[in-house]
Amino acid sequence: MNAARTVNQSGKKTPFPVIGIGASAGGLIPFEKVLETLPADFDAAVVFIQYLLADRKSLLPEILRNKFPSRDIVRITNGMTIEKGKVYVNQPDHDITMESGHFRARRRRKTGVHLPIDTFFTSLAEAALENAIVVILSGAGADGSRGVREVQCKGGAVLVQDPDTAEFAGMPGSAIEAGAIDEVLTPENIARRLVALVETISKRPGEHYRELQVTIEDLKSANKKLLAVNAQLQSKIADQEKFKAIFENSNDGITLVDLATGRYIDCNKKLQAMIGYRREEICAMKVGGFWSTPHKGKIVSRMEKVMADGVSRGEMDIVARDGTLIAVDYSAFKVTIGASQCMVNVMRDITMHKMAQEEIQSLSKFPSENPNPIVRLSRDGVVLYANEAGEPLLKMWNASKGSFVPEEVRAMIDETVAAGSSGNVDIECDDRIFSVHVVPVLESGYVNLYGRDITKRKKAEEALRESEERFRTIAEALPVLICISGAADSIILYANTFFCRTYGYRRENIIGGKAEDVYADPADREKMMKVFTAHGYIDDYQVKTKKSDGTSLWLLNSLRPIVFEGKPALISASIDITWRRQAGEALRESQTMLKAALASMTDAVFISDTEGRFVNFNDAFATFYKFRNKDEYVKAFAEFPNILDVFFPDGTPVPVDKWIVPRALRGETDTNTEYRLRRKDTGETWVGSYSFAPLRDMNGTITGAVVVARDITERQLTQEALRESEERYRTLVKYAPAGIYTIDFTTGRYTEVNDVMCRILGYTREELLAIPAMDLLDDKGKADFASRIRRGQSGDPPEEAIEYRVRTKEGRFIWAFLNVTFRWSDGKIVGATVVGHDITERKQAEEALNEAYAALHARNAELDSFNYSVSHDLRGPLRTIGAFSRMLGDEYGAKLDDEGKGYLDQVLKSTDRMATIIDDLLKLSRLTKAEIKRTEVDLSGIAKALAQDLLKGYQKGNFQREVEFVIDDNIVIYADSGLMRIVMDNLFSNAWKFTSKRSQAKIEFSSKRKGGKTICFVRDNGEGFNMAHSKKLFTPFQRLHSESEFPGIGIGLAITRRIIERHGGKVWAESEPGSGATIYFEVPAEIDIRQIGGGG
Amino acid sequence: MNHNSILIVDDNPADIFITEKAITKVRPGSVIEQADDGAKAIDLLRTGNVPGLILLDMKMPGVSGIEVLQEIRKHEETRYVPVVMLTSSTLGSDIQAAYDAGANSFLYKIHDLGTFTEEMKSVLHYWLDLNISLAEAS
Repeated sequence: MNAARTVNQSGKKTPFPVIGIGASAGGLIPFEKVLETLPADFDAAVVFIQYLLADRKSLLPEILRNKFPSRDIVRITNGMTIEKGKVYVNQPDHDITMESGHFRARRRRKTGVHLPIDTFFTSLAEAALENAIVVILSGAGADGSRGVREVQCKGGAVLVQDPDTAEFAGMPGSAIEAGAIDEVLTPENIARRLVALVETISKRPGEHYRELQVTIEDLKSANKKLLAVNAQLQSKIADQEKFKAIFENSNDGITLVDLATGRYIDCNKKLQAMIGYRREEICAMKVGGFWSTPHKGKIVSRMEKVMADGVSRGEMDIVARDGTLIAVDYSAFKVTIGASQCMVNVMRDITMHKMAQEEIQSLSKFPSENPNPIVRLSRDGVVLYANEAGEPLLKMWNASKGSFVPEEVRAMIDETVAAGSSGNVDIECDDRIFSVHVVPVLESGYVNLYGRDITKRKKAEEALRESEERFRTIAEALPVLICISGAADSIILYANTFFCRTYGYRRENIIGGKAEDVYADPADREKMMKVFTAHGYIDDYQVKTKKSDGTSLWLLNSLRPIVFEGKPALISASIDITWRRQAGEALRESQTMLKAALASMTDAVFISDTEGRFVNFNDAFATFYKFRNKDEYVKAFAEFPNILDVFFPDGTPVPVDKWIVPRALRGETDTNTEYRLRRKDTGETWVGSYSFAPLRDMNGTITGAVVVARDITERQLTQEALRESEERYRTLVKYAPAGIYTIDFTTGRYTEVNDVMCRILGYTREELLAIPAMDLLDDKGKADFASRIRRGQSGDPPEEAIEYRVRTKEGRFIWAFLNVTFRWSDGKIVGATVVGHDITERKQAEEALNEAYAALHARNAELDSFNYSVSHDLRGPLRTIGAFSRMLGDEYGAKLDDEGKGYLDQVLKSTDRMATIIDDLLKLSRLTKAEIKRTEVDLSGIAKALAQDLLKGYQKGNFQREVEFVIDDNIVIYADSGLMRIVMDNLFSNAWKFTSKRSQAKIEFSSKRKGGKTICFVRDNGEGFNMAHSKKLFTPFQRLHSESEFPGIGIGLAITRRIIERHGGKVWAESEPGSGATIYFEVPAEIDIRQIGGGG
Repeated sequence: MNHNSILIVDDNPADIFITEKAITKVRPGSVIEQADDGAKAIDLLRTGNVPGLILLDMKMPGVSGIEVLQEIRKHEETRYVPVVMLTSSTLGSDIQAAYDAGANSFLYKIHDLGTFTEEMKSVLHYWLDLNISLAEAS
């Protein structure tokens, strides 16, 4: 720490406050506001440093003079003396500094960084010290941020325009960031604050502090040249004020007794110090309460003597609290205070004299050798004897053996004799002081004076007392914290009233205590003492101490070594800078942190003053009340203060005094109190969860309320939904006809199983929860499940529907269809919820079906190949039979008679018929194997061609038939055209055949839509059939009519059915005997080949 | 090459008889040679006796019709002899196999002698008359 800093270079600081105002862009308007608000007789100088480009000629003084004609506005020139009451304005192209009460204006260099505000502030800090007040107003850049630190370091005050109010927040922001600021204010408040600061500077503790410094110096020098002056108490008391002063400050113990009541009215500090009783205790005593027992009996006579003579004198012993006897020289006199007759008792501690006296007595046997003066006087004052050491006394008295001593000495003798006892008197002589014990030896008619040189002691004592007295007087009067503690033991020996009052201690309590106990952290004192040890003194050391109530007190501390009550001690003089620390720390913290914290909070936060007005709230606050932003909120609340309805959770309205802010202002604190809120204007409702508390100042007085609110509507809904969903889940799990369980893969155990699961597996729930989940699968299942999970972990989502064999408690394996929902955590499968069905029956049925299907397939294949080979192999011989029969007829017909020809004809007919059967069988068999090639097939066209062929074939023969064909156009399907041709051929041939006995035959081909499908049909009005046999109709070689009635082998419809079914469609018939038949078929556009199967 | 000679290869004597009957009916005076299995047919062809047309039954025990056909197509002397396959199979796959092996046409062995004879007439006309004149023209 710089020891020279209390005294600046010029040796003297500016005697009045100097206000430096730094501003740049946007700073003029706030400056004008400051000027408007400052009173005209403002007790400080104002220096406005505006950051301007150098090449601009500033008209600022002229502008300001126009606006503020009453103000003395001056453009700064070099060497100008700074005077209070004036407003100084810088020249843009000059750097302004301040030295010894003068300005220095230097033309600015063209190059380099130009920081006029920093430059001026730094010089101001040095030149004005605590009298410097600087203000940073709006401006871009960071100029001033270094200067304010300097100012604050030297004890000056720093104010900054609130960046929110600044047109350019750069400079204020930088200053705040630099941290060396006292307050952040609006321009209006800056002016108010300036007035207050200027006022306080005039009575700043620092002034007293400096006086104290001087005093301490004086005391030190006083210690060196001891003075021997004792202010005499025994003068007349002229008036009460003087009396009081003497009373309190006397070196003698003084009591004031009401003669009417015989009680002590008052006593001075000295007496309290002498006897160790406090004033109140003494005042509770009767007169003579602390006198020694032998003297108590003389009280009445003493009082009477005072009443009568107005005065009484003598020696006596008084008893201190600790039982020590103190010999005092006692004098009492009567005074009138107001209407009361009082007695003033003055007691001087003469223990020392007594000791001297005793010494004298012991030495009196050898008067001539005695280094102390011994003089014998006759009763009327003639020197009878004096030893060598007594010569100076005689010389002073201008007396010699046989001559009279002066009048005053004779008066002293008279007094002593009159008192009837020996007395003491201090006699000064040639710079020396003798304590002279006057002993009347009445029986011999002379008086012995035994002197003892107490010069040194007396002088030292007096000087010390006087210096201490002076010190105390000053120390007590100072509004500075002064404390003296022992250098070695740090025990507090003295603390001034201001100290005691500030810390909240009674003096008795703090004196005798340890100095380190005052510090907030004893380590702080240790640190400070190290500095002290290193330098031998300490100046302006900032340290945190604590008051009796535990609150902290920041001190600006100075420490000096002194001698106190004869011992080496330390005196500390401190001023309370808590306000400054608070302004610095708390303000910075509270403002910047609060702002940042509030802004970043998602919870609505607002702070209200004691009137319930919101003084601070964050953006989330507006959102919470369903406003788009703060502005909307402010506007809406200004127009409609009662915009909100507030309800308790049960729906009853909340009375205003139960709203959050009133509750908090009453001192209530609560967290998560739920209120339902409704916007009257929009009807929006939501649920708010509030936490709130009152704000209190240091005294515990409520100064406002802070409320934190959060919209928990969503949360409530979510919770409700969650609860419902949970309930549904539970119900489902409980009553679902499926085994439901959850597995934790980290433990491999079931975590939950439902009743159905237990029932299926035959275990109790407890048993299931105890066994490893995988144990229930067979080996294949275990391996499969493990690989699924592995695949799942590596990012390949495992299928979630799986069929496994699961072992029951009985050891039986059942088939289970498991629907698995995996639970993931951090990309890993950690568990699963499984819904399982017992599909053993289905599985068994499926297996049986598969077996049956395979068997059927094999048999069909067999049948087909049999069919094929039979047909094929039958053909050869049949052909031979047919061919040779024909040749027989052709070549040998002539040789046969008619009967023989008839037989041969039968052979040929049968051969033809059998050939047809075989061809049809082959066709049927080939249909099974043939591939279906779908194209668009125009069934209408096929039908029309067939109709023509049939009519043509008919015309060739000699039949008498009338057949009407009704064929719808545009019946087109997507199928194999060759096969469909066969179908149509079969159906038309059938219709043609079965209508052969109708004179008016009618054959229709048409279609209809049903359920999105096209159903085609061929209808005739022929013989028809009995529906009971309709199934037989489509079976190969099943005939419903005799060959003679309708020729045919009964395979046409079987082929039709096979073809239609191979297309995935179906065919069916409707009929009634005698009234025709309708054959329906339906061919879907696309089919699933698997539905058809391998054969049949 | 004897444009009037026809070789019938068939294992079934009744079929050979019927085929022969049909040929002589539509083309009397044709020179007809016979072989009743594939091996014999190959042997016969190797003697240098190359017919104007071969009627070859597909399905024969031992060396099958297809194998005989492949043999025919392998040798320079017989490479260009028209071969008409005789078959009782109506399976498309059989017909395709025959064509793949180098058959020129095929004839169903149908039971109706009249129809068969008609079919035979057109086959013989094409392969013995038209085909030769085409070959000569080119």
